[in-house]
Amino acid sequence: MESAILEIVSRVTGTPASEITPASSPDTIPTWDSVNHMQMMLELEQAFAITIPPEMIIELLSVQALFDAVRSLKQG
Amino acid sequence: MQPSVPVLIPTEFPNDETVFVTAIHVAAGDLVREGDILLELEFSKAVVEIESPAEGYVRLLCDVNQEVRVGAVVAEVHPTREAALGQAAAPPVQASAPVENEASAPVFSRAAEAELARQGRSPAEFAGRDFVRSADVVGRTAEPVPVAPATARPSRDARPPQGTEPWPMSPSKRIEADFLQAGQNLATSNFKATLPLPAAVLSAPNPKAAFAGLSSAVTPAVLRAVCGLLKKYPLLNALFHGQSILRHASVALGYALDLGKGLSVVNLGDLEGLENKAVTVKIMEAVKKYMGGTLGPADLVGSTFTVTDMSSLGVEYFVPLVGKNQSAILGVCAPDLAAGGLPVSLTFDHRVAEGRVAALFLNDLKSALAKEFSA
Repeated sequence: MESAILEIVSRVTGTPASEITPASSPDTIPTWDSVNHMQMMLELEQAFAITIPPEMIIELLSVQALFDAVRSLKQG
Repeated sequence: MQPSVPVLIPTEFPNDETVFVTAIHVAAGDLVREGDILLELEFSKAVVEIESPAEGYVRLLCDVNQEVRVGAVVAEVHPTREAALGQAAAPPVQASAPVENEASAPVFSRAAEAELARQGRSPAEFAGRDFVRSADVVGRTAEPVPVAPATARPSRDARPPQGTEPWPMSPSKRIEADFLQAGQNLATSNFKATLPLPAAVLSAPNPKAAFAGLSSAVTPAVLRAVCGLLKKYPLLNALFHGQSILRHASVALGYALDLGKGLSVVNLGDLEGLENKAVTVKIMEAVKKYMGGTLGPADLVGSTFTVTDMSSLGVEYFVPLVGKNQSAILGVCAPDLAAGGLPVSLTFDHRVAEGRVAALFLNDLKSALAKEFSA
């Protein structure tokens, strides 16, 4: 699951996967802007067959937060 | 004999009097189920899929790229394939919603209108028809259609300037061009102002990222303040209609989105009183629908004032154009970090408001944001 999330973050932001860590965030990835953030949300929803609530979308501001959210929503 | 069921152009988009048929997903005589997608229509701010209202066989009354009036019948669903393909249409079922273009006012395709004009004939000859194509006009001509001589040339005005070539226009661009041609934006004025920015943005290691980030307070604060001030300055939440000024009864903020999939103005409603996070959630919901292609009529209709945000594109200044059924629009430019402010651009319809109203609105907007950002 985590590798698939990393692949999405890497592809959408154009950042090499080797440079992305769980602590990566919009502060460390300059191309992680609001548009790419929403693209990531859509791709995560499709890849994991989940629906990310809008109020959660604006909280997912790190790769670790993406890991936790997808895990939580898959279980929920 | 069971009656046919008409397929109508929806009337939920008050800004549009006509729409373009951009795609037809079925062929004449096809068997469809209720809910199957029959065709796509392009309104000025959205593409809408039209579903079949019933199970049956399709009779098409429109063509791709044709312009039709809202409320018109564009297809019928018949109980038998023979009826769908037959020359005589079954009597349509009375729609629950009123049909604006009844049989006495048939819809003519552009080609049909041109053909009628060329033949010098009256549209009244086609009373009782829902939709008239050029082939219908040609088919009713008693005399052979005269062919223009090969030497015929377009009039001087119709000839394009030398050294030019046509550029394709999308249906929505054509609608926008028609609206602008009508001249409302010739009656506008434009004022510039610079709004304050929070100290947290200006002192951030990356101020641009801090300004544009999802947790930024700037955009939600601007939108909320605008909604509040539109109640104090109702002439900026109004429209010029006929010879009158009409005030919108409530505030519904339109937020212009163009993220590479065409311009959509999403109605975010009245944001006054909401927390910043709630405003951001509304914007994110709209962006998600925009990017997923799921914006529907309910998301797009009824906005009374528009904010268009060019800040992410680095635009230093621009003059936004007032939308239909509105009297003003606020453009948000890229932050001027050297000056420590956020330039905005207010365009307003001078038939409705005056410069003093626009100036006071902008001054109050500056004050409201300064108060919020200093809190």
